[in-house]
This record gives sequence, C-alpha cells and structure tokens, in this order.
Amino acid sequence: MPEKAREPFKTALAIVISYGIALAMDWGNPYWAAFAVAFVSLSTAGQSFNKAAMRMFGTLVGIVAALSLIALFPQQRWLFILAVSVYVGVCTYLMTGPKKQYFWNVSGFVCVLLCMSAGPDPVNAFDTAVLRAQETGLGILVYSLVTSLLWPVSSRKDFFAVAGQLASGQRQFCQTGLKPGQDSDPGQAQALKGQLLQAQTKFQKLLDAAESDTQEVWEMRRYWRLYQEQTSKLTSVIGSSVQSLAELEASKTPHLATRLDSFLAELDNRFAGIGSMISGQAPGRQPEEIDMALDAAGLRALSQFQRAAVVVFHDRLKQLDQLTRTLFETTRNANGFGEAEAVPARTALPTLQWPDPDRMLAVIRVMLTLWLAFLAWIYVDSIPGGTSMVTMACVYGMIMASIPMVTLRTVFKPLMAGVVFGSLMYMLVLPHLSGFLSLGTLLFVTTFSLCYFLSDPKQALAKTFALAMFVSIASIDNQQVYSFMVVATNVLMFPVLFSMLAVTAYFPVNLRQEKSFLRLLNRYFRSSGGLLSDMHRDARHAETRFERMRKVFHVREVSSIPTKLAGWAKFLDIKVLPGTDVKHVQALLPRLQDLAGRTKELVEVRRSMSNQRLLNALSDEAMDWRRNLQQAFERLGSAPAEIGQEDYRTRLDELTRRLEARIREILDRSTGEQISREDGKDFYRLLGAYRGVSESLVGYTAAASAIDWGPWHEERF
Amino acid sequence: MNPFPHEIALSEILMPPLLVAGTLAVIATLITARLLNKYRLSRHFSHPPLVFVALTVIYTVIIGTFFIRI
Repeated sequence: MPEKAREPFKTALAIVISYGIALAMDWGNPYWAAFAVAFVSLSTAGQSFNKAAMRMFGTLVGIVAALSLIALFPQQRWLFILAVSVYVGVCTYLMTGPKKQYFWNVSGFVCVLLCMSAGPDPVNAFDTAVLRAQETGLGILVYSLVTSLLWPVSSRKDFFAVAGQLASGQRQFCQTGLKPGQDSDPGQAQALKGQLLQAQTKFQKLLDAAESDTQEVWEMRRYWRLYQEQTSKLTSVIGSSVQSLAELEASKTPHLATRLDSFLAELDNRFAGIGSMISGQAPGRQPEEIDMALDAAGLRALSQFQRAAVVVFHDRLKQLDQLTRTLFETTRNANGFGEAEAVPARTALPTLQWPDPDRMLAVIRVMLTLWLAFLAWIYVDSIPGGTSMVTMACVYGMIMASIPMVTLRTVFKPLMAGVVFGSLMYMLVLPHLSGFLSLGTLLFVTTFSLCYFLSDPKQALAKTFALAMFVSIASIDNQQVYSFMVVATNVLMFPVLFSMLAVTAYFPVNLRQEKSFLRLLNRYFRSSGGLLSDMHRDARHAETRFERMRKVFHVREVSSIPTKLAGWAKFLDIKVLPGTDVKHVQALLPRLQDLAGRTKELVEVRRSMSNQRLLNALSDEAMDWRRNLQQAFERLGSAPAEIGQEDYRTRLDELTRRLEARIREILDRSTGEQISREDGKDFYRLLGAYRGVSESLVGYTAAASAIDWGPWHEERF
Repeated sequence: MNPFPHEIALSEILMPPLLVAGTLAVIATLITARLLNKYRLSRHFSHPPLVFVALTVIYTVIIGTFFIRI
C-alpha cells in the first residue's frame, strides 16, 4: 500500500472497530470513541501515543473536576457556573504554557462537557462521566493497537536525523561565521540561525514522540532534555560570537585572539564527534584544552571601546569552549558512550513568577466566551444547541485562545464546510443504510477519503472539522433517529457561537494582528526599560523577593516577545498596511532578539561588577547613557520609528566620545593597586555591553524606519 | 389594524421579525464597515468594534420600524 494511504487506512479502520465495539456493547454516545481516534491519530506512533496519553489523563482529571463541582454546588446555579469558569480559566492558563498543552485543553473542555450534560441531570452524572472515560479509553486502545500492528512508524529515525542536523548546522554556523577576514554575508548567518531554530523546534516535538516509542531515548530522556537545553543555548552563543566578530571587522578592530585557528579547528572536531556519536559511532577523539590568550601588546594599542569589544568577543569564545565541551559530554552520555550514571539529577523546581500577560488575556477571553454562552443558554429561550452550545463555546474558545493571531474567518469557513458535509451525509446517505456492514463501509470510506485527500499539514484544520462534524452530526446510535432539527440546530448554533467569539476578539482587548503586534512591541520596550531602571542598584544590595520577581518578569518578557511577534507577523494583513513589506517586518525580529540578548547581558555584567570605586567614578556618564537608553525605549514603545537611525547614531557617538574621555581620565589616575586585572576586564565588559545595546538599538531603528507605521496606528473595523 | 405580533414565513419556516431584522442589520453593518474601511473613514472612530455594535442596533431599529415591523 502506498505510504500516503497507510495513515488514513489505520484511522479509518480504528474508527470502524471503535464504533463496532461501542455499538455491540450498547454504550450511549458511541461517537465519543470515534472522536478519540480522530483526534489522536498523528504521523508517527510516538506522537500518537503521546497525544493519546494526554487525552486519556486529561479526560480523567476533567471527570474528577466535573464530579467534584457538581457535588459541591448542587443547588447554586451561579456559584456552579462561576466555579466551572474558574476551572476552565486555570486550564486555559496552563494550556497556553510550554508543557502538556493538550492535557490541559482536554481537561478543561471535558469538565464543561460533563457539567453541561450531567449538571442538569445530576442523578446520571457519574454514569455519563464513566461512559466518557470508557469510550475515550476504547478509542485510544483501538487506535494504539491498530497503529502498533499495521505499518508501525517509529519516531527514532526522524529523531536522530534532526539531532544530527542540529550538530551539523551548528558546525556550519561556526565555520562560516567565525572565520576572520572573510566577507561574511549577514543574510547567510541569519538564514543559518533561522534553520537551527526551526530544527530545535522540530527536535523538541520529536523528543516528546521518541520518548514514547523509542526505548533508548526513553532510558536517556533526561540527558536528551539536557542536550536540547544546551543546544539552544549554544546556538544563541554562536550567534552572539558571530555578531561580535562582524562588529569588530566592521570597525576595523583586530580580534587579538592569538590561537583562533586552532580554536576553530578544535570546535570543528567536537562537532564532528557529537555528530558521529548521534549516528551511533564512538567519538574519534576527546575534547582537548585550548589556551585562548589575548595579544596583550595589541590590546594596549586600542582605544577603550575597541578594547571593550575585544574583551567581549574573547568572553564569548570562552563560553563557546565551555558549552561545546559540556554538549560533547551530554551527547556521550545520551548515546550510551559515557560512564556516567543513567540519569542526571533533576533540575530545581521553577520559582514563583508573575503571570504572563498574553496567557492571562487568553484566560479572560475563554472565561468571557463561556459566560456569554452560559447567559445565552439561561436567558434565551430555545437557543440553538442549548447545553451543547456552552460546551462548544468552551472548546472553540480554548482553540482560539491558543491561536489568537488566527482570524475567526479562517476557522469558520472549514467548520461550516464540515457542517454542510456532515448534514448532507446525515440527510442523504445514512437513512438508506441497514446493518453494521453497510454503516461500517460508509464510515471506513468517508474517514479514509477525508484523511487521504486532506493529508497536507495545511489542510489539518479542514480535516479535523470535517471528521468532527461528520461524527457529531451523524450521531450514530443503536436506536438511530433522523430529524431535520439536528441539522438546523448545528447550522444555527455555530454562527451564534462565532458571534460570541467575535465579541471576545474585540472586547476587552482588540486582537487585530497589527494592534497586537504594536502592543507586544510596547511591552517589549517597557520591559527593556524596566530592566535598565534597576541597574543602578548597588551590587552588594540584596534583592527583595518583589524585585527578583519583577526582574524575572522583564527578562521573560524581552526573551519571549520576539518569538511571539514572529507568530503574529505571519498573520499580518499586509493589504491594509500600505508602506509595509513582510520582509521588513521579518527583518525586525532578529534585531529585537539581538537587542534582548544585549540588554540582558548588560544587566548581568553590571550586576556582577564588584569594584564600586570604578562604578562611582563613572556614575554620571553611565547614568546619562542609561537615561538616554531608557528614554529611547520609552519612545520606541509608543512609536516604533519616531526617531531615525541618524539621530540615534549621532547621540550614540556623542555619548561614546564623552564616556571614552572619562574612562581614559579614570585609568590614567589609577594605579595598579586600585584596579586589578579582573576589575579592568569587568570594566571593559561593561563598556562592551553598553556599546552593544546602543549599536543594537541603532540597528533596530534602521530596520524599523523601513516600515510606514502610520497605517498601523489607524483604527479599523 | 395592529400589525403585531406576527411572524415571517420563509419556506414554511416561521421566524420572529426581530431575527430577520437583526440578520439584515448585521449584513448592512458589514457592508457599511467595509466601505468605511475602504475609504479610510474608520480611522476617525476611537473604538470601531463599539461603532459596529451601535450601527447594528441603529440598522435593526430602522429596518424594524420602516420595513419589517418588529
């Protein structure tokens, strides 16, 4: 059988078997088992098992929550609804987080589904809950068996291939970006970094899947998680090193690293070793020590800022050395070539953090949609769907909250196409069938066709809706009844439901793509300013809990917002933004990432400075610089390109000149006792960090000035 | 003669006049919003979604008073 037809065949067969068993056991709502099959079927066994486990556990947690709420508020309608909406809000917050999103999604909507179907009929609540659990379990069990027995597809091959791609990508990134004297193309470096980031995302998904279907990955899963973390950090450090070298070359400053060629050769060997271990061969040689020395005489001949740039570059090379060595060790352990214990120690639990504003917005949106549906159900007589509409409000509310950048129109069209398809099957085909043989054939043919013809990832939404609507409208049961009301209810329910979702897309926060983009930019610059505002604090002053949380919040904001912006940028409606090109918007994102990295670095370097005498001597100029940066962040937050690149460049040059004069004065006055070698290095690191943030800001304003921001601020329907 | 209450029959399905007036009002508002966007007049509103709701109400009242009689 052709490969493209295998997965549709397995899904169709599993649906038919699930229906067959559920009908033979005379269980009510047998389509719940079919739903479980339709939603957990993915391209590899590991991915499917992973999703199936999350669906099953999510269902069980949702059932416990629903039964507890029904028992706690038997006669208090408003308290019951309030408790249900709060539970769904908590699930939505956790669903929009980095881990186990599907588990929380299922847990939230299963709770609402049971509360709505069992709440008005509490006597049968337990039976309904058990039925939901056993049918979900049935669907998952049947699909797992089918997928394990028929053409099992393991994630192993893809997993090791992507792990190898990561190692070779990083090797190439180092080779092309860190060779001095080459006219390296910044576009090529950016493209390589982009490819690495994509491979990292793919690796994360495949690691989840491989843990489920590949024994050797499961055994060493903690090392692989460590590998994932270290790879991500290494990509970022390679990117910073490449940029540092490019800046040195642009300002015609020698890098002064005496043994850079041997260093690069050693890095190359380490990456080659990592690659061969991933492909199952023992590494040829172990990492060797590299003596990275700076040319002291050359350093003395440079200006203060040039020295700072050289020290920063040298620091990054040291980081590269340390990280590649650690990654080598981790890869060796993960692939079974090491002598370390089977599992490394678990990392510490995350500390308490302020909530993420975007996730809170998702919570508000889902809770508001749910309340609108509750109120409509209670106060509007015979509203289409009734309790089903409330359940659907939760399901679609949670879907839309997890992808706020997607317009309702994008979801509504395939959904209504699914409703029409399901209705036609229900009215024209199903009444002519008799017996399970003909029903099974129809189920098989329909499911197979939908999965086969809509197998492209871009058509995933259409496939899901068509399958879901077919299964839900057909409502196959042992005592099958046909009524036009089923079709009419579905056709009317979804427009009403989407009207509610449309309300929550504009109230309380307008989720238009360009408005959300501007809002995120504003938050990014506010957090960057917030990080700088705390910098003047004495390093010896112990941070309070509040200050630490505030700092962690700002760091998380500046680190995560560029990625969020990349998500929104893909969905921008460029037609309504004359003067904006997608390329220009895309070009902003690496600039923002770079600025975020530089700002965090500046804050860390400033925090680690121990020589208070030096800091005090420099305080006026540094404060002046910091204030300028803060003002720039403030203005850029409200108007992304209010000031041009030239203006920033002029100001930066002026500040640099004054700071350099001041440093020279301080250093000339200082004797060897006052400033140790380490203090001097710290000092240059600080200068390099200041310079880096400012250069990054100039780069950002240059990229932002290519966009006409006027239309972005205009109000639109 | 008092024209109220009455229902509107569409292919033998009886519908309340408010539903029909409301649906027509939403369609009219969508057309108006599209035109306002096209000629960049929507930038003069401070919160277009509220204007959308207001326009729908106004159209419903107009259609309900002069055309359908709700």
